[in-house]
Amino acid sequence: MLKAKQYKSGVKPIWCPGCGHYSVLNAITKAFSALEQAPEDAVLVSGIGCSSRLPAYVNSYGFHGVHGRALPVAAGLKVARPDLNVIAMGGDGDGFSIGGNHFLHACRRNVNIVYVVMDNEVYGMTKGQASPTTPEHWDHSKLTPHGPEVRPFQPCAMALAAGAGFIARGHSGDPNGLAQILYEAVQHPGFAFVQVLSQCVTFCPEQAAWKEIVHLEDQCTSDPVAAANFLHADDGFAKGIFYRHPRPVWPLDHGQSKAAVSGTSLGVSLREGFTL
Amino acid sequence: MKNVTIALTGSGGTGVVALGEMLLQAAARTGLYGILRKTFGPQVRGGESAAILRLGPSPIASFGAEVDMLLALDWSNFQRFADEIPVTDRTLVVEDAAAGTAPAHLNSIQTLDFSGLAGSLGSTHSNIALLGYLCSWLQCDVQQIEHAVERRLSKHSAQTVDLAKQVAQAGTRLQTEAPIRLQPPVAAAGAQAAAKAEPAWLATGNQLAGLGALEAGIRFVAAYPITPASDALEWMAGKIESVGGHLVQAEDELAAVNMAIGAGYGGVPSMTATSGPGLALMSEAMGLAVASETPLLILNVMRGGPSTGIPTKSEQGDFNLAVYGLHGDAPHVVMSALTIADCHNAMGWAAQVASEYQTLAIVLSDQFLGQSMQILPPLADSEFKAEILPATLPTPTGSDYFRYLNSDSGISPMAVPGQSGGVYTADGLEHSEHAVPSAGARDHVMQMDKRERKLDALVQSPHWGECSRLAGASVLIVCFGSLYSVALEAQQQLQEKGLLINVVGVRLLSPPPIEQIQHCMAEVQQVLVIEQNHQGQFAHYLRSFGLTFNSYHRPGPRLFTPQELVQQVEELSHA
Repeated sequence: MLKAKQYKSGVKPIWCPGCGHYSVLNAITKAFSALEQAPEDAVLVSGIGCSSRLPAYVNSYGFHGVHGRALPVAAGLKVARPDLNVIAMGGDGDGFSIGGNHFLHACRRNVNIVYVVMDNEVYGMTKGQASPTTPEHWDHSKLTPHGPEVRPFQPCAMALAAGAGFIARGHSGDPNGLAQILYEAVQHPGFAFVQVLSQCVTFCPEQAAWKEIVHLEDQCTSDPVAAANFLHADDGFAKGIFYRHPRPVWPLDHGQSKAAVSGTSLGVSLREGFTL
Repeated sequence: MKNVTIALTGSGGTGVVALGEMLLQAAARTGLYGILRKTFGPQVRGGESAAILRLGPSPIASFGAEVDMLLALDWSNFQRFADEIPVTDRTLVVEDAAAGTAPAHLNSIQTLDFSGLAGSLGSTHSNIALLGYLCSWLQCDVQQIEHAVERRLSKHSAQTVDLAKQVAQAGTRLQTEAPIRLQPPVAAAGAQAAAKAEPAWLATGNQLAGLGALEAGIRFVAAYPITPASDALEWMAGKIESVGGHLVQAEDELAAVNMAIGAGYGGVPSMTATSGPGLALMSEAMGLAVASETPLLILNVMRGGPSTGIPTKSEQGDFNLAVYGLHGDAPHVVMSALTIADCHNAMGWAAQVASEYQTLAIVLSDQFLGQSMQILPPLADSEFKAEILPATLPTPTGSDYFRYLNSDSGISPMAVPGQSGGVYTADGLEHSEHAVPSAGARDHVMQMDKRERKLDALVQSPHWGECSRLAGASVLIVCFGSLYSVALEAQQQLQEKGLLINVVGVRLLSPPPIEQIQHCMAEVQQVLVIEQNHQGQFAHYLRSFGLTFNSYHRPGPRLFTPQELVQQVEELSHA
C-alpha cells in the first residue's frame, strides 16, 4: 500500500501559493492511498485551466487535453478500457462554460467515471475573468466591468436534472472531508459528480471567507425530489454527499464478447450482408 | 458491349431508391455489373429523390454524360435535380399514369399505368410494378426478381412480401404488352453461372469504409450524425459489438473526436466519421491528437460546402480543411479513397498508419463514393492491422521511460495505462521527452522536428497511389478520390479514339508523395490535375511543391463525366 505522498509525481505545480487546488491534490492522493489504487491503473483526464494542470502532479497516468473536453476524453477511455479508474477533472470555466454540453450529457450517459470540478468562480489562467459560477455583481474583471450580470450556474442542481447518480460538494479547506467524498465517488457505479469549492487567492481573495461559511450537511438521499428540494434551497456552501442513486451504467451488456479482439480471424460475420 | 443508364425519379416516399436497389440486386444475379447513385433533396420525406443506375457486362464505377432511359413515378419535383439527370433527345422517357404533369421540354413520353396495375392488386407500390417491368426487360427470371423483393422486404410480413411478388409479376407482363424500345445490357457469356458460383457483393463506400476500419482493428467508434457520413457509422454500430468493440453516440462532434482520442490514448484503435461542418468542429482536437501523439482515425465523407452547403450531394471541397485546417504546425496524414472498393482499403491503411505513427489520419471520401451502391467482386481480406496495445506488454522502466523520446524514426515508445513503468501524462501542452510540460525553445523544436520526421517513412509506401499506364501515353491525369474512376473511363474512351493517356489516383495526400508524382509526370508531355471544387485546392497544393501542370476544376454537385474529361484532354493535347 502506497502512502498519500507516494502518489505525488514530483512535478512542481504552477499554482499560486495558497491556491485551493493544492488541497484538492492532497485529497486525491489521500483517497488513492485509502483506495489502495495502483498508480498505473488510474487515469486523470483534464481540460485547460489552472486546475486542469493537476494530472501531471499525480503519480498515475494522465491526459491533459484541450479546453472543455475532459469529459469526452474520459468517457471514450473508460468505454474502451473499463479496467481503468478514470477521473475527469478541471475548473468551473472548463466544465460549465466551454464544456457545459459535455457535463449535461455525461450526467445522462452515466459512464462509470468521476468528475471533479475545482470551482473558484473565476478564470485564473487567463487572469481573472468571470466564469459561469461567478456572482452576478462581481465587478473585478476588466472584461465585465459591471459584473457578469448573469445568474450563476447551479452545478449540483444541473447535475441532478441531467441524471447524475452521485452528487457531492467538498471544500479545499477540508482535504480530509474531500478525500472521503472522492473515496465514495470512485466506488459509486456510474457517473459521480464532485464540485469542490477551491479558492483562488489571487483573483478572488474574498474567497478566504469561505472557510467560515461552508457547512456540512448530512443530507444524502436517493430520492430525486428530496435532492431537488435541498439543492434549490442550498446557499451554495453546503458540503457533503447530497445524492446517491445508482442507475444502469453505460455501456450496457448486450451479451457481446467481453473483450475487444484484434485481427481478421474474428470468427464473426463482419462481411455478412454484402454477398448477394 | 454498351452500358445502359437508367434514371428513376419520384418524390421521397414513392420508393424509387428502394426500386433502384432491388433492380441492382436482380441485375447482379443475371451476371450484370452496375452502380446505383442516389440523389435526394433536403427534405426528409416527400421531397424529390432519384435513383440512377448504370448497368453493363463489366464492373462499373462511374456515370456517363447522358441517361438512356428516364422513368418517372412522380414529376412534381423533377426540375430540382434535372441538372443531374442529363436527358437528351435520345433519352427514352416513360412515366407512370399518376406521375402528374411532365416538364414541357420533354417530348414523346410513353405513359404506362404502374400505379393502376399495383392498385388493381390492392397495392400502393407502383415502384414494385416498375421493378417487374424493368427486370423483365433485363431478362431476369422469376426467382431473381422474387429474391430481390424478399431481400428488400425481409422485415415485412409474408403477406406483404407475397403481394409485392404479385405486383412485380404483373409488371413483367406489362413488358410483353409494351416493351421497352431499348436494347437491354447483356451479361458477359458465362457471367450468370459465375455469379452463382461466387456471388458478387453489393455495397456502398460508406459500408466498405466501416468494414475496412473494423477488419483492420478499429474497436471504438464515437459518432455524431451528419449527412452523408451517418450510414458509415450506422453500419459499424450494427457490427462492432460482435468484435467486442463499442460505438458511442456523442452529444456533438467535439465530444465525438475527443472520445475517440480518449480510447486511442488507452491503446484501443478508434475513429469517428463526419463531413465538412463536423470536421471543422473537430479541428482543435485534431491538433491535440498530433501534439499528444495519440492515434486517431477520421473518415470525412465530403459534401457540397461551405457551411451547410449541399449536404446530400458530392464535392471535393474539404481538401484544404483536411490538409491545412489544423492550428500550429501539425504534421498529420490525409488520404483519399479512390473508389467504392478502395474505401475499404484506404480505411484499413489509415487505421494502421494512425496506430503505427501515433498520429491523426484523415480519410477523405465523398457523397458519391459513400452512398453509391456498386456490384463488385468480393473484396480480398484487408492486409492492414491496427493492434490493440495490451496493458500486459512488458512495461517501460519508470524514470528511464521517455514517452516522447527523440528517436531516429521520430516514433516514440507509447505506454498505455496499466503498464506500471510507463506512468505519464499525455499532453497538448508542448512537453519534454519525459512528457513534462515545457515552454522551452529546445523542447519545442525537438518535438516539432520529431513529429514531422516520423511521417517521412510513410511517403515511401507503395500504397501512395494507383497508376494506370498505357505505353506511349502523352498526357497524364492526376486526381484523388472519386474522380479516379471517371478518369479511368476517360482513359478508355480516349484510347478508342487513338489518344493514349495515363491516370494517377493519389491515395496519400499528406505528406505528399511528390517524387512519385513527379516521376509519373516525367513520362508524358502534358499533365492535367483535376478536382471537383471551385478553387482548385489540390492544384494549389501541388504547385506549392514546385510542380507545373494544367488544372481543371469545377464544383459539384454535378458529377464529373468521362466525356467532360475526354474533352479537356483533347483541348490540352491540341493546344
